[in-house]
Amino acid sequence: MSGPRIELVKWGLAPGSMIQGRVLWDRRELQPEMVEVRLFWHTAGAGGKDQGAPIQEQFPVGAGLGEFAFSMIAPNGPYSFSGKLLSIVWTIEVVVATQSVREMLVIGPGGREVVVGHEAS
Amino acid sequence: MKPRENPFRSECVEGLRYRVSGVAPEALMPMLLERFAGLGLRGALVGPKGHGKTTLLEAFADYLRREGYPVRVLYARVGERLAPLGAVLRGEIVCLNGAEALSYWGWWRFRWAARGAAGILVTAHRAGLLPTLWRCETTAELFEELVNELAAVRDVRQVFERHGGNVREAFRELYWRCAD
Repeated sequence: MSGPRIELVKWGLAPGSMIQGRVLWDRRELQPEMVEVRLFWHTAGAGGKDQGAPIQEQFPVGAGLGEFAFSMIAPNGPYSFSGKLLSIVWTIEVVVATQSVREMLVIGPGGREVVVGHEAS
Repeated sequence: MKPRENPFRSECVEGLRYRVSGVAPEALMPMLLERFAGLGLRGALVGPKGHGKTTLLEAFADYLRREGYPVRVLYARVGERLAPLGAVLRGEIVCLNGAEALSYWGWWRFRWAARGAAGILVTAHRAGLLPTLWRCETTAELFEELVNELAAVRDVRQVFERHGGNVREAFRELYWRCAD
């Protein structure tokens, strides 16, 4: 395994719903005492990058484990969004000892990104 | 294409490393530092808009930090007064992006406030504020090389020519081309 990996039950979530997932790592490489889960939004597009303050939680991990299940509440906003000029992207980051992994997820009505000016996908 | 998928979104463009034709990437920063030292740690990165002055200033500031210098980077904007510099640390190098945005008095206020700094580095459109440390230039070949790192695009040289060598604007055109 090359670095930790995130698996989520659902990658598209409605605001206020439960984000459930697990992080897996190679226990021969990493022996964390804590796992930190961060959730934050940032913009991507033509202009400068903006980023929201992360929602973060730390979870103690039992010795010798190679995975950890976590859950946290999806925030009410901002919604994942794409227009022409910018996208708002939600990212979940999990820090396991010295390594981290990031994945994009969608938080929006019905678990879908709000899309303006593009064909729905 | 959505902005988050656009290969020319700002985070991708800003992630490109400043480079110079004929100079090995790992040799550029040590060479600049040697020149900067030769100018008594007072110098200007000079060039027109969109020619990489800010990119180079930020990359050089990072390099100086890694070399152990305390560095402060300030950003001047037209019509805005520069934030007060406060106490300048002993040995600190003050980097000012956009010196041309300062008024005559604004420039001299900055020089006075930074008089205790070990070094002053600025970006400017024209030479003359401080000795020229580096003249930022762009070429169609260089732009093509940068673009190729992000995506395969046709007519790159025409885009470059259309913007008169302003790489920032040329990248913006490519962004909108992908966005439509």
